[in-house]
Amino acid sequence: MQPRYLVALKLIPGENAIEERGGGVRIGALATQHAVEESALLRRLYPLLPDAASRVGNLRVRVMSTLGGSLGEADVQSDPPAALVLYDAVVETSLGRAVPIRDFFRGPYDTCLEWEELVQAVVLPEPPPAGTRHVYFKYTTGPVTDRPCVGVAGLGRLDAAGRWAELRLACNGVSPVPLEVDCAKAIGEVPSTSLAAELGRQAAAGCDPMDDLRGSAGYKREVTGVYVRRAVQALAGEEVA
Amino acid sequence: MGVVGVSVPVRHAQEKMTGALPYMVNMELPGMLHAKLLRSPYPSARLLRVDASKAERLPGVIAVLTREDLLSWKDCDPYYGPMVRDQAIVAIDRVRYEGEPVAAVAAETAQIAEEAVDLIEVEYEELPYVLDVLDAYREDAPRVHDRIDLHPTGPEDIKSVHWGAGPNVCSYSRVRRGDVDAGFAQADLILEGEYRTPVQQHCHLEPHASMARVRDDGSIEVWSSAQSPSVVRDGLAGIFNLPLAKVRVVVPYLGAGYGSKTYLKTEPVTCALARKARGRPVKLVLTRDEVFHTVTRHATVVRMKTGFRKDGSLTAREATAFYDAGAAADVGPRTSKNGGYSMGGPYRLDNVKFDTYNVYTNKVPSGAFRGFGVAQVAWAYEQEMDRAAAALGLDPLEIRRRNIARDGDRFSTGQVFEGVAFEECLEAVAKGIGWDRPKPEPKGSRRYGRGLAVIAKTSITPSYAGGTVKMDEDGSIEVLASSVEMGQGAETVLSQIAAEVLALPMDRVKYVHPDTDVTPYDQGTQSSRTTFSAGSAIAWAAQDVRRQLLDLGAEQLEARVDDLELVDGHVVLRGVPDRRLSYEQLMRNKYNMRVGTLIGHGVFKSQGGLDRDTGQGTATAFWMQGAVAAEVEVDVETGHVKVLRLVGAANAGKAIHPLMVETQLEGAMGQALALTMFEEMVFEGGQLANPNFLDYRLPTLVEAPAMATVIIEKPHPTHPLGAIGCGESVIPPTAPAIANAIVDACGARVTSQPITPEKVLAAIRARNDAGQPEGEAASR
Repeated sequence: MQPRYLVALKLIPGENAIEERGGGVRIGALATQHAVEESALLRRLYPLLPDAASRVGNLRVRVMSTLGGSLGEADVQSDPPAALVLYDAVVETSLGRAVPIRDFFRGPYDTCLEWEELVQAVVLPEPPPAGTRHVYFKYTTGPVTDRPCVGVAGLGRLDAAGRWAELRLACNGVSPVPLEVDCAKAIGEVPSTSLAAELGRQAAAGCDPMDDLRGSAGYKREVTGVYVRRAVQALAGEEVA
Repeated sequence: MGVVGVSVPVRHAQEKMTGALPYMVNMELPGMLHAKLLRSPYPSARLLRVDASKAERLPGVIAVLTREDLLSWKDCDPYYGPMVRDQAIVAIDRVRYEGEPVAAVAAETAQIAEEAVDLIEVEYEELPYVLDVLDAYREDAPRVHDRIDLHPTGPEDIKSVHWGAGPNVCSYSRVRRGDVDAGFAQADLILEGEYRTPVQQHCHLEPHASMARVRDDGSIEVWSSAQSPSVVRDGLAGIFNLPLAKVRVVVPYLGAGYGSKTYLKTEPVTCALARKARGRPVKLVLTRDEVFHTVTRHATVVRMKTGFRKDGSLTAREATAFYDAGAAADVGPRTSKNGGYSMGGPYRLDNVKFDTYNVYTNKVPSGAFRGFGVAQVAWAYEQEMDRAAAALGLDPLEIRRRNIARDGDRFSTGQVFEGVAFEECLEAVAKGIGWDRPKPEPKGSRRYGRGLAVIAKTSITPSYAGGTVKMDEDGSIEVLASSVEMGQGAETVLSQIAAEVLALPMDRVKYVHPDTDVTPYDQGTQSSRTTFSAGSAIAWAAQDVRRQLLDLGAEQLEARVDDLELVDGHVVLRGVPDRRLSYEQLMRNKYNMRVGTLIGHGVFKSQGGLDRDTGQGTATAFWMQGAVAAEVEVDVETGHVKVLRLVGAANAGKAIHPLMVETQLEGAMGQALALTMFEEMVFEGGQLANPNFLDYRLPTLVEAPAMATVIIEKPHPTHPLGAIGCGESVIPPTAPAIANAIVDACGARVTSQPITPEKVLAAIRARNDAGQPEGEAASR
């Protein structure tokens, strides 16, 4: 591609706002990762997203990079997507479409965006109920600022009897689009190491990573299993390595 | 008074912090043009056609340089290289690595220059290439160079090197000492191992940059981010066939070098462009991508066979090292020679047989890198020591104690160790890490371990440094040397030395940065030699001025020179503090006017050299001595390693500026940690896949461990202040100390850098599969 012009969108007014809308929150596409990370509103209602955004690159990157821009780029090794999947985010585009996040990504560097269509906002529906725990494990094989080898996001809630009432897991970096782990078998169960390990094995079997500078596919598969297990254990309130 | 041994304020530290300090990249001159290079996309190709006509017609383009210019300039020799003339200013008949400069443009703006580069048409005929050093050393490998064209006036120390001994072999050197067969016959344990390091880059913050102007009389002025200004001048004079008086090289502050900016780098192409730019200055600043395509640290494969007695004492070592030269020799013949003869380490080892091959490949040229070939072999021999300790049931500290060389013992080249404190360094780091205290208990999947390493490194010998001290009519001084200030503190330390000798406060001392029109010859700011070599020269130059002051004082105070001393800027009659004259008064009295200059000169020259067949002889004028202890945490489920603590110790002889010695050691351990754990230039299909800081991964402060340093001060016998260099002392031991600590934590030995989590996990698996504690192959 040989573009004739490079257009900066940063000066478009208003589209960097993070504000309540309906029962949820609308994040303008030009909100920076740093703004997402710092937003008191998001920290209160959707803490997993600021947590993930806070792990993007380094501070210098986060004050420049926008949430909308990084979604549009659709790099598999990115931190926010798994969190957005778990919150059932909807992507609003400049052509007026509202695309559920699961339909937004098509593969590495590929989205459902049409030619001349931009991400305009990310809308989060009603937040999960109180008592929901969250976790984001970013595992890098390089420095902490590196892109994730695997990033595991989780939301979980135990009922009064200490059984899983809700458990959702998604992984960044190990499949062409964010990988969701089917946690149906956990619901109603008491958290246990064997259940966590089983979900880990399931994620390892289900992912489809690529060999690259951050590890071989086999290695990424293996650490995906480890970190999914650890995420489940963390959501159950266990202290994990 | 006395300023030596005191951590005086570091010169210009404040200007560095505020960003006010002018670096080469910031320098501008009126009428300055901007240069950009066209680089080869192929690792090996013949140049069929280079057509710059479209580029030349682009408005704003002032000069385009191609091979046609080089071939038409009868007074210019386009080939250069400090030892082998195997680089051309721009490629002439073929290219030998991806990124090799093929043409260059100077234009009114950098953007125009970049556009013009895109307009240059080049037709290549791709040729077979070879990337791996062992593949290159095969009879059937494609040849990178057809012949070895030695530089006619190459450095003295490489006279012991053999040239072209085998397929793609640039240089070969050897060490023969004692009788290895007899040594192995005495051994109770013989270990064999192979150790590897990848191609790595220096990653200095400031890229290579230079600016050149050619005057009407053909003389050249160059401003450059060069570590060896005198040598750059000589190289340019050779290329452009000029007397040295017609080449001026000025070096401002460097944003670090680590060896990458030694010898000619960007200067030849900048000067060649300037020659076409009709008197206008031409400035070239490389991009980060280009820095990665300029010079690297040699990748290596080291094969080592070592014999030990039951008590852990060494009996013999036979070793072969392959250094990956890349596509040009640069200083690799020296790097590999020095690394090769260092394979015996700081140990008593009387039977050695070392062969070292420096082999061309179609990759970015390798050159000097802090640790200079020794880091790669210490990675091998210090892991061998731990393997032997495990196999013999000895403590890793104890096996080192039993072999460590002391004064009077001999290095592998037969040179007698003098003034060495290897043992003190080793004991200091063992104490610092708490070697005798229990290590942290395992926690979940985390295991903890500790490791040690100790090394010996030589410094370029023979070598030369001149120093001049000039006293002004008010008694303040300028210190003139061609040592480059690149963050290591040359300016502060050389100023301290002169101030000490002349009893002056630091604010009466100015350091004059390298300008070959003004400052005396120096072989280069490299090999941790500045405090030792230039420091000696400056001390003697100051002593020369001191003698002149004492002579004036004797005359004017009517006293004997022996009864006089320098105190606080005055010549004073010893014991009679009132009988004194300031330096200013001495000169004023002499001339009856407030005028005058006193000039002192000092020369440092070391002797040495090795026998070509045996590698025996004097390798160094002083020894770098360093030890490191590491404590690590390993997650045995992922192989992830966190280096928790590093303790480094080095002998500084005499720490002129203790704080800078400490920070040198910390910086060295940090850089070594990066090399050990993260850094690797990856080549895919002959192309460098990660020439940027996103994919060439460097650690951050988050990965930096807690560090402690110990300065040992065992004075050097001949340095005027007893000082030696220590800028590299703890680079080589850091990597094996970490590797040994990982084994201590979880049994996994990783023998190739970087130590990625994936390699650690694989080694844990291999050990579990084998079901043995250390999993090491020991015979007998």
